[in-house]
Amino acid sequence: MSKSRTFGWILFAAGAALLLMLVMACGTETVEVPGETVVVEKEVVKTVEVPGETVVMEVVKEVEVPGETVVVEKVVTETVEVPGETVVVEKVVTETVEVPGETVTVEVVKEVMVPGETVVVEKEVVKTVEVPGETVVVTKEVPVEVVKTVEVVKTIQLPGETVVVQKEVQPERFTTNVWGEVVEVPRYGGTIPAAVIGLPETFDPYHNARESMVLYSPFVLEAMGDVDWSLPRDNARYLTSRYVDMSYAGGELAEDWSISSDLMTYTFDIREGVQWHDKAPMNGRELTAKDIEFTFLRDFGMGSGATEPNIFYEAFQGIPVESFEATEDNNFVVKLSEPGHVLHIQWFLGVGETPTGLIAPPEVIEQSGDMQDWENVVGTGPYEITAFQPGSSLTLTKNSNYWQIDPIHPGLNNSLPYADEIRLFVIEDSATRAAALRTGKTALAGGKHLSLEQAIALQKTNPELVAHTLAGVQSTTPIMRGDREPFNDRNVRIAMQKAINLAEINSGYYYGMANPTPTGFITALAPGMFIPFEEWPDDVKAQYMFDPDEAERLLDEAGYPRGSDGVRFTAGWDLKAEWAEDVDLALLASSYWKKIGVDVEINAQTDDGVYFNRIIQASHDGMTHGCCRHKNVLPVGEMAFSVPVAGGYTYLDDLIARAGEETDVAAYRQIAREMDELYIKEVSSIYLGRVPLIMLHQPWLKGYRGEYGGAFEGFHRVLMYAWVDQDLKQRMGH
Amino acid sequence: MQRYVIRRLLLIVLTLFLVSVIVFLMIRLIPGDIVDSMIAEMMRGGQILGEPPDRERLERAFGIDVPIHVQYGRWLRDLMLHGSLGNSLLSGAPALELIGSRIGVTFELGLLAILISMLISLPIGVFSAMRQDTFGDYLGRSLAIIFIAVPSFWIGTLIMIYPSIWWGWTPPLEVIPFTEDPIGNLKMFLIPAFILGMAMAGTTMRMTRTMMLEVLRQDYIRTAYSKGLRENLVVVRHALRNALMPVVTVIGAELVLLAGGSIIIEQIFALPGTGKLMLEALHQRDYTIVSGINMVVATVVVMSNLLIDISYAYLDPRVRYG
Repeated sequence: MSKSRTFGWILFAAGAALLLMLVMACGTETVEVPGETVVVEKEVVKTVEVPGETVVMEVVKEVEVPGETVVVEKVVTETVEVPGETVVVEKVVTETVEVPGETVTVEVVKEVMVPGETVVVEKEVVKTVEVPGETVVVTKEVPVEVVKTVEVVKTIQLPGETVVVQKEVQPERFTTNVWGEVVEVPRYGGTIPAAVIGLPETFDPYHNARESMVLYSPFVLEAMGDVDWSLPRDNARYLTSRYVDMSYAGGELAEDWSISSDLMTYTFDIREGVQWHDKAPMNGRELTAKDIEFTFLRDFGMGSGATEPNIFYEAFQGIPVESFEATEDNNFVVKLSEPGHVLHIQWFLGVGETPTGLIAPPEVIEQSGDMQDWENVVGTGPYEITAFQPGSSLTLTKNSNYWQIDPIHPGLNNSLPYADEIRLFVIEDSATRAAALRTGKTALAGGKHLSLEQAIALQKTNPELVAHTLAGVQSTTPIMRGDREPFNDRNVRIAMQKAINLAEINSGYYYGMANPTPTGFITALAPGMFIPFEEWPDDVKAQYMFDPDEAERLLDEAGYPRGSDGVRFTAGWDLKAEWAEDVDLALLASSYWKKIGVDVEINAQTDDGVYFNRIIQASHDGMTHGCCRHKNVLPVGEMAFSVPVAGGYTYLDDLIARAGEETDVAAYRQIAREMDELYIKEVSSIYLGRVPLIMLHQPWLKGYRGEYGGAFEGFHRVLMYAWVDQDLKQRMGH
Repeated sequence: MQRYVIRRLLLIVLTLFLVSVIVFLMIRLIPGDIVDSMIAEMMRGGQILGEPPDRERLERAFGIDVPIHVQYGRWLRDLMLHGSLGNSLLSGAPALELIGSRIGVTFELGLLAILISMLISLPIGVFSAMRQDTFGDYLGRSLAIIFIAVPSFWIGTLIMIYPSIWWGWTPPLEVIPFTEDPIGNLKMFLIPAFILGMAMAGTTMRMTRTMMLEVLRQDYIRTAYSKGLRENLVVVRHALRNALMPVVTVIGAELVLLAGGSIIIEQIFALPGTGKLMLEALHQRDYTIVSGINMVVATVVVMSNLLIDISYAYLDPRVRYG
């Protein structure tokens, strides 16, 4: 008994001595496991001595406790000590406790130490308890990972082996974009899911130029022109859209172009090195000017198997085309039989609201007759269609051979696109759209397809969403019919405007977020055409000031006194509710008019066909939904619809006719400005305040700055320039 | 039976002919056509600089430049000779192809809704009748009223909004074909089908209860009880079978409601069915698609009703068709 006790003491003393040695050698490592404490007891160090250098190859620590094996810690360190410097290339610490019946992995840490600094490349904390028959993961935390690149520091020749010493280098995390802002360096990969209100049933632009086409085509098909992405964008609203003024247009498939002084010859220098998607029958061949010629002949019904022009390109009909020709030096030349209009270049470049000039693959059209089936779609764009579920989803996969270098971060020389995949989901219901964004099923939402209230609610429930407030168009623009009583009297129109309390609408209805300062039809983004409120003459400004007494006086003077029921006259308002809340706004406006004795009956038109038909047939009510205030580009054409067609006014007729024949850009812009001046002065429509648009996006969608196009495409077009922070996305569980 | 079926089939042909005439006319009588929309959009989009658009050219391109009866004659000719419902005005794609790509979604939704409705309504209806004027009966009847009274679009919207706020969850928003992933597919369809089924279940539940009450008071049921048969046997074998005939009729009538109700539910749950296609086509005045969907739905409904009528012979041996 005493012998065994003595032996026990010896064993204890030996253990203690061993423990003490370990503590002295490398410190004592203690791992706390629920219910027990294990002490580290063994260390193995291997060192290679090279004259002038010391290479410490490995450090291993183990604990052996009688009756069980516990690997408490394992450290592998590769260190090269070169005279004058020490480079610790890699350090891995793994602490593992193996208890009979259980395995507890406590921690995994990887570090890189570079002289003078320590960079934690990756740190993962994983606690796992494996109990026979079940696995319980206790916690898992993955802090920020820094992307590693490896650089060879030194190669050492040892007898019989070569040691390559590598150094992990943290790449630059920030760069400067084309606008001088310091931004994160874009990263490749990931998927961007986005909601669309519709997808095409047919994918051939010859057979479809509707909204659904605009939503998909920018990713797959390209035109000769595009917005110039390198331009500064103080107002990010429109400069992502092909729907821009020519001042903002840049080349896409055409690198450059020239127009003859008589506006009869347009020469486009087609970009070299652009490849069709690597898909039969195009098989990645290079795009030529002949391909451009093929598409234009087809769209104009002048060849390429087409005898009828593309019915959706009505705008083309007025262009007196004599010939389309691809020259040997890869130019595409358009010749007109008479001088063209100043805007014709816009249609050729495809820089307009309708996606004109999208270049179709000749071999596909020749083989299949058309490109209506999605499986036949081949383009030159940054993405290819790889899956389509009619009416539900469209999957676009990155075109690895895409020609464009990121114009927003020119210093990086990065090829576009960044995201591997873009998935478009058809979600028409706005509540469903909001829910999809809230749960991370989509990357972004907003603009016209989320009401202001929904956008505000989303910001409250999901504060992690990034919000961009953008200047909007006044879309609820009641235009009064100038061809019939009572609105043919300008004073009546002024009275209608003066009855509206813009400040009150802004504070009470738009949460103070709208712009109550009146604007004309044209936006500041239309160069040389915009007339800011400050420049309006005082008497014109006064027409827009809230003054109900003056409004009543004007109505009395105009011969519309209050009747026995207090009503001066009644008028109907065909309201095309683009936003559901437009109806509420209309009711609010009506309440102001009621105060001055004007009874306005709202006739909400949810059906586009009925609404347009009533306007075109001139059977609409005294007021209708005009369009719009603060429009961005092409204002002449839009005003030609709103003012004479919807409003029945004639005061713009001469100017519209002049604009239609104008060949000089500066003169054209001057005409547009004069039109806006008259529009403002005549008070043909009521200004109710410009509502901001709110764009919301997930914080993991990077490179998106709240851009929202001026046409149907909304925000979708910009996605090819955006990128996905996949780690953040993963951490957010999306 | 054979003569009855032939007679009914002839009646169906007549019914479908009338439906086609009505649908063809009605959609064209709504103010505004595809050309109006196109012209207005082009003008609003600033594409036309005061030049009058060539309306005739556009009408000719869409085949709506001739009188309605000529359009109908062409459409009927294509249907009879080629089995074609025409081509979409907008896309030029065959209407049958477009409808075919969506009908599966609506069919699955409808089928699941009917199944769910029956699973809810029949047991509760029978239970309510068997335990008339008890708490269980009151509860069942209250449920029926709630199911009928609460609009399905409202429940659908709530299901879309609140779980997303509380638990960060929404129903799946992308259709996965059943053949690819049955579970993924059902995940998408079950909730909207349940909502549609609930609305149907209310009516069916009430009808089942009423009919069961009537049957349970019949002499042969009393006889069955007095013979010592177990209650379950009496109810299932003798009472329910006889009570089901009017219930089946109601289910047949609800098919039409289902086709209508699915339009909104498809919209909320992003289901690409014919309801959604119909709505898009109506907005854009794509006449051939609107007519085509109506014809397909009408055909499904009249054929279903025929099958229901035929099923009477199996449900009730007293029924004889001659």
